[in-house]
Amino acid sequence: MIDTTTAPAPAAPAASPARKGRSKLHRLSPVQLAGVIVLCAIGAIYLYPLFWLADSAFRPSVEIFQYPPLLFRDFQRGITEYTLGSMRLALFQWNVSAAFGVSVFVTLLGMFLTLLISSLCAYAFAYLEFPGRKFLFAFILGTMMLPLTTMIAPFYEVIVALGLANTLWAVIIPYSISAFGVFLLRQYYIKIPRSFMESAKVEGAGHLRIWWSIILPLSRPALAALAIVQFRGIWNDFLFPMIVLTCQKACTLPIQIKVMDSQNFNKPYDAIIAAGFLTAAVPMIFFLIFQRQFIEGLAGGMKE
Amino acid sequence: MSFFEAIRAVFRDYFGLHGRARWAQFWWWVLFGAIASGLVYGYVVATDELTATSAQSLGGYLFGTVRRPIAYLGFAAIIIPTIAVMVRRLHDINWSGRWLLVPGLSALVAWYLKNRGEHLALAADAAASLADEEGTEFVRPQLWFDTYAQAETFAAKLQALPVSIQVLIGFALITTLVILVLCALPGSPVANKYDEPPPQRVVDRSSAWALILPFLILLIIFNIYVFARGFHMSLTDAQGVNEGTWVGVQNYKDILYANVLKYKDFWRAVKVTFLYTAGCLITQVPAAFVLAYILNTIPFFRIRAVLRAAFFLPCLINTVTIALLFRMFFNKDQGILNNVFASLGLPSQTDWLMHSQWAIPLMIAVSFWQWTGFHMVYFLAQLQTIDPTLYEAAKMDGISPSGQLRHITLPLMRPAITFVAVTSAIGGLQVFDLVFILFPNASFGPGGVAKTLVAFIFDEGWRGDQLLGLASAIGWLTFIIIAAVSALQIRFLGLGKHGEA
Repeated sequence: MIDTTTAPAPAAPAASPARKGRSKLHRLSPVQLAGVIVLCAIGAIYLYPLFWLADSAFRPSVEIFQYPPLLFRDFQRGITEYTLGSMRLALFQWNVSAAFGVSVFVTLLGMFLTLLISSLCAYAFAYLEFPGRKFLFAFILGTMMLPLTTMIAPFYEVIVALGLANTLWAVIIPYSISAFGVFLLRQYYIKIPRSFMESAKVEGAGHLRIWWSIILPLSRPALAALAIVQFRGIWNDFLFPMIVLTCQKACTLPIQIKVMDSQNFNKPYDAIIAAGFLTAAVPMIFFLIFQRQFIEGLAGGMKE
Repeated sequence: MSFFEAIRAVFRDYFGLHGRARWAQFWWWVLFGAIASGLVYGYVVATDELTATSAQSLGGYLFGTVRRPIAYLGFAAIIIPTIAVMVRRLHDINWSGRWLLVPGLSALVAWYLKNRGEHLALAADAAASLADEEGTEFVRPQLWFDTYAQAETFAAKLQALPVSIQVLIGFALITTLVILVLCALPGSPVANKYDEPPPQRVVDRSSAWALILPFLILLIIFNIYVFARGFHMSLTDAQGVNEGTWVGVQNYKDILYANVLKYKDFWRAVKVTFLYTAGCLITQVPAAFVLAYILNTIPFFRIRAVLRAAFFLPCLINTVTIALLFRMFFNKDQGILNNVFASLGLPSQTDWLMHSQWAIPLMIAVSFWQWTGFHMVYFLAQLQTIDPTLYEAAKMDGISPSGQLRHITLPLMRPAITFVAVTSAIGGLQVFDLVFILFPNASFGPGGVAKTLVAFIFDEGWRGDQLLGLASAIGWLTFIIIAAVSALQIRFLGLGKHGEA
């Protein structure tokens, strides 16, 4: 999708042999150079709130709201006074460690179940013929257009009727059905050459066998894209778990932050910032490791 | 041309229904609808477990049985394909006769305004007499638009018109409704669009069902059933855990006509949501496009990758953390914004989060920070799919860079721009987390000025009286608004004939 190695910049003039040895900067027109500098400046301003979040999460709570921001002053003085105090407060006094565990559990299981269920379903839609196939597929695509707003009210009722109230399954199971996932994987599957499957069938492999040992390994990029979409969605979701989970023992990280924020007196700003940093750091770390997959999954996956 | 041929030609031109195939599909849908509703009706009659209250109307008759699930599923079986087909139909309909809709739609609006005015007057009278009994003074709530006076004069004018004109208006109204229903009905299933060269599939029914069933069962329970149950709930006065009784369209009337006794105004929420969405679209889409365009011209992939990552990072973070962060930034005494203003010598005593005129701009600003990079990455990916030989050819013809932008880049990027505009409008219309957290004490802005549609749903359904029936009705109206807005966007921004969305 986004190819960072070959950069066919349309406006960039081709490097002439005479300039080969000189700095690349000479290839830029003054306008482009100004553009780069301005963009870098905007990027720095853009990143500042994240910078502040990460910085404040490790400060003593008295220093958080000082101005000018302490980081700059510290660089002048050559001193930094970082501490794990607010992180410790958040993790152990405000139950963020439990919420972190819940979030990890819900996200991992939700992702896993989505991949499993969607890929089985997509396999059937891509390769098997059965009455009502087209109609069912159109139907599943149609459900993608139902927005959450029409459904939040009766959701709790259904959860109670199924006996799932106050359990984490109440959030995991609804997360694990993704019509978008079925669509994405099915679009990928129909592009896989059939000859792979034919030969496996000659060897006597069943559908599950073909799915497991041929289709799944071949569709790894699509699975990764779906996993990333689901990861970001589930980890950051707020309204749905807030309505379904009652938070008696533990709930997901965004809800826990909201609970900490609803203290009317002595709002624990230091703990909130630490918890917020923790919640934000996980997707950011994953992004920095799997940058290409993330961008392909989120920007490219939507396009299909 | 015979009379019937002429009628058919008019219909063909109007709806773009050419050829036998499309008519066949039309009848297929009609048949399907008839069978589905017959099944539902037959089941309900056969089980015959009606309660006294529910038998009063057809809706109560259909949904009021003890074994409702089947009725719900039947309802969903009709409505979901209809939605899918409506979206698909937008490309097929020939809109050349759209002016015919104008008189009908304006008659609809007039009818609504008249009713709203009457309801406002009635509710205000009731509230005033209640206030008299209690010995307090009745304060009329500030509604976004108070149609009573306008509607009264309008109704008077309408009645003064000659009967023939009134009949014509009524005729236009009915025609419009028929046309709208017909637009929704026929068409081809969405699946056809996505069927690339038909691969040869294996006929294996039992395996297929076994593979699909896990997904389908969960989908039916958690999407389709819940969706239909939401519609039923919107027709009852459900409250908290209490299931409530059938009240018909009373909830919708309460919302649309702004029942003054409850001090609620649906249209204010609509206005706030639209302002926010429009603000997001106007700021984010052009900014994202410009950023992507500039970034695409940077020949160093390393700088480009770093900048792309920097702009992309905010969209990965949850809105709760972002809203809290910005609440601290906008703080009056300790917030960074005021501190920076102070050091620049600008007025620095603004209490940003407590000024009603700043509520929506602040939300738009936070949303800008969060989502621009996301859209930019999408634009960047699309820009890189444009064939570079096009630019080379343009350069040889001596076309300036601005000309290249106008004649090559923008036309080719049009589907991408539409896509980003539609998705971000759908997201903006459903905004909740941001407005819920950004303002202290979950107040939805000072005095609730920034209460968006989903916030309105939450406020009605999960706070105070927990009016879940009313909340579901708002949810349905929101859904209709979202569908209409995205349909209009697809229509006017244009996706090309087989565009993607």
